[in-house]
Formats: sequence, structure tokens, C-alpha cells
Amino acid sequence: MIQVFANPHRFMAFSKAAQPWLYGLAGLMIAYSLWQAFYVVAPELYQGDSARILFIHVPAAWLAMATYAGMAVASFVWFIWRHELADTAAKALAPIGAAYTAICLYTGAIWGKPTWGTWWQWDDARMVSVLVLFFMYLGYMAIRAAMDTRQKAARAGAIIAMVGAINVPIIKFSVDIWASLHQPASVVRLDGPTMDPSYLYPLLIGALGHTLLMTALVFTGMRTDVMTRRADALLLRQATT
Amino acid sequence: MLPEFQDHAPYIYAAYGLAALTLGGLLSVVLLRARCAKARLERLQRQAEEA
Repeated sequence: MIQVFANPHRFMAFSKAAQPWLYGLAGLMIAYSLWQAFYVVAPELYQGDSARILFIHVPAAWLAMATYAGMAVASFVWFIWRHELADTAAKALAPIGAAYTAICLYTGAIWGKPTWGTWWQWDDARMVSVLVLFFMYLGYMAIRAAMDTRQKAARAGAIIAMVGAINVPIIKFSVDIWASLHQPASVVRLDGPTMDPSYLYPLLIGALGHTLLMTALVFTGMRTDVMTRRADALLLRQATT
Repeated sequence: MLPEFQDHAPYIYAAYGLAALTLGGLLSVVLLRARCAKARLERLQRQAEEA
């Protein structure tokens, strides 16, 4: 499977056909989730209407972690097999992950004020580890931009992405290990979700919509990178002839 | 028609408004860069064919 899509020509053909479907399905699923969040679900018993922020905060948090994990895997593939499309994928994932991490951070702060009485708590491991994740994304993009060749950028970026991946399980399990204002996991649990179905299903559909949007954006970003490389190669060929 | 919330409406609108701005901005930048890259590649391919 990886071998099939590792070919840039096949990837370009596949992604061109898949993109409109991904954007369309993502739009529908996110719209459904928003409609549920704003008009259908009842206010939560203790938090009132502020619990509606969950429908953007939680998918953003999941995607912030999943995108970094994807970036680390793509970087690992590049590091071992030196496959250029893997580096292209890691590069395309970074700004998307940074955007979702930023959304997670400020929707969390906005939700925290009416719920906990504070925008931010420096001794909360979940909040601080997500902030570290945001800086990892910024650092990844900054170090890539600072390198003078693509190979150097790919190598430096891959090292940061792989080393920084240790932060992903820290974020996930921080609420179980350290004292936190956050509640323990209520969806991804070994004994099944504890969330009410009226909240759970719109949340899962919204999260799937955001995952499809992220995939579509990654495909677009990768296609941009492939086209830029082809254009640079053409320019070089024109200059040498 | 906007929904009527019992409480915390400014917080809800602020969270979703900022998220929409971030995702809208990201989408615009990604699509614009793709469009520019495609136009540049097509221009260079045309030049190469003509040469």
C-alpha cells in the first residue's frame, strides 16, 4: 500500500481525485456537528451552555496530537528510507498541526474561564504539555526555514519531529498521572466512553470531519510541494541548457 | 437565526469565531499557495515546450 502511494505520479493522480470528496465530506460532517452543538444538544448539567465548546476543543486536541504523530511517522520513514514524499508529508502536516494546537489552546482557555474560573494554570500538566506541543510545531517550521538546502531541512526537521513525539503520550496520559483541572479521559477509554450519546455521536462525527479536512489540507500541501519541486527542476534544466 | 443560550454565550461565540478564523485562514493560505505553485509550473512547462 505504502509502495503504491509512494510514487509521486500515482500520488498526484490519487490526491487530485480524492481532494474534492475529502473537502466536501469534511464540510458536511463539520456542519452537522456545529448544528448539533448550537441548536440540538441540551446544556450540560454542571457547566451549562459552555460545554458546547467541547465540539471544537476536543477534535482540535485530538488532531493536534494525531498530526504530530503523523509527522513523526513520516519523518521516521524519510529518515530510514529517504523517501522524498515522506518528507513532503511531514512538511505539509506541520502548519496544520500548529493551527489545530492553537485552536485547542485558546478554545481551552475560553472554556476554562467560566468552568474553572481561570484562563490558564501553569501547574496543569495537560495545558503546559499542549503548549510545548505548539512550540514544537513552531520550532519544526522555523528550523526547516532556516536551513539552506532541502536535505538539511529534512534531516533537522525529522530529528525534531521524532524526538518531540515523546510529548504525545505525555499529553494523553498527563491527566491520569498528574493532578489536573482536566477530567480523566471520557471517550478513548479501555472500558468504553462514559459520555452521553447525545454529546458523543456529534462529537465523533465532527472529529471525523476535521480529520478529513486535515487529510485534504495535507494532500493540497503535498501537491504544492511536488509541483514546486517540478518547477524548480524545470528552471534548473532551463538554466543549464 | 442565532441560537439562544442560557449562559456563557460570549465564550461560545468567541471560541467558535476564533476557530473559524484560524481554519479559514489556514484553508486560504494552503489553497492560494497551491494555486500559485500550479500556475508557476504550468508557465515553466509552456516555456520549456516553446524553447
